Amino acid sequence: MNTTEDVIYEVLTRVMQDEGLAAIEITDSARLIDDLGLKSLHIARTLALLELELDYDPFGSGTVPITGVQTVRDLCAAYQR
Amino acid sequence: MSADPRVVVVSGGSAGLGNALVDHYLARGDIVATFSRSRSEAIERAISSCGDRCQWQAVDAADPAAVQDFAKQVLRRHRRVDALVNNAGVGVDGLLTLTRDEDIRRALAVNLESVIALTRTCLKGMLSARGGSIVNVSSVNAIRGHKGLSVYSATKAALHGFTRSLAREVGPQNIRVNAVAPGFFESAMVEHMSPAQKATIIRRTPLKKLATQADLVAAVDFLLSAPSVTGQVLAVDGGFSC
Repeated sequence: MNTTEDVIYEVLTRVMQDEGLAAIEITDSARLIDDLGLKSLHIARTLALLELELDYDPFGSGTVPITGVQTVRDLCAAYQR
Repeated sequence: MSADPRVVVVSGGSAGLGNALVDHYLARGDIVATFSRSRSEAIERAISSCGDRCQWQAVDAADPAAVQDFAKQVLRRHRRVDALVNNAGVGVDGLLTLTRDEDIRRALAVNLESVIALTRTCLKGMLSARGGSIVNVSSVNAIRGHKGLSVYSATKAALHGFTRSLAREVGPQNIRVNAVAPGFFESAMVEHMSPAQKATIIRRTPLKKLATQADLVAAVDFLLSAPSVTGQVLAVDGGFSC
């Protein structure tokens, strides 16, 4: 069974492939915007896909500020319940 | 009948234009999810003839949290939304200085806040699929002023700004956002008008007739489907606002 982290990596890979972004390795320390090349709408799509997959939105209630998510590690941490 | 059913969300689908849209998309073979405060006979008929393809829930459009929860349930069930028509709306009629706070709050909640809440959640289903189409039902009163309709006009004009900015925001993901601005059309909303009032409107309308509900359905359908149209407001008013 996929862990939450597995799902996050799969979704990020899918979004990057769909958006034609260079095949940059996704690592824990990779910054979503500066390293992976994601734009804000790509991140919005990533979060939408994660909400569908995980049935969870840590940002909607304001508990986790989206501005605090800079890296893949930050993103995985946001989805830890 | 469509070979590839879309998931179409129509707010306020129990009567009037909303129900006409529900029937239209069900006849097309789509899955239609709608809500209203109460389950009308029209909705009963739709569910009876279309079964699971017609999904209705009791939701008060003045409750944005409930509207959002409705949309979340649609996403959980279908994992996508292909089209959204923000049809639910409430009228507020009267001189501003005589308008009650609760009527202002309800108009803002139904006509604007719930539209935003519903759109925000449905958009997630469109973003995930990288495509979709939204039509917001505004009003000719958002284009031209009319005595006694300042609050209503404010809520509907806000939809025009919402439409244009959102169109720019989500266009790169192949999601289109448009608005249809109905003029006075043959509906329950004009039934209370006197023959003299209707005659005045018709006199001021270049096409010398009121639009029909079918005209509005066709306009919404066009905007939902036209591949290169986004960020636009289409007035369907016989030229009243031109």
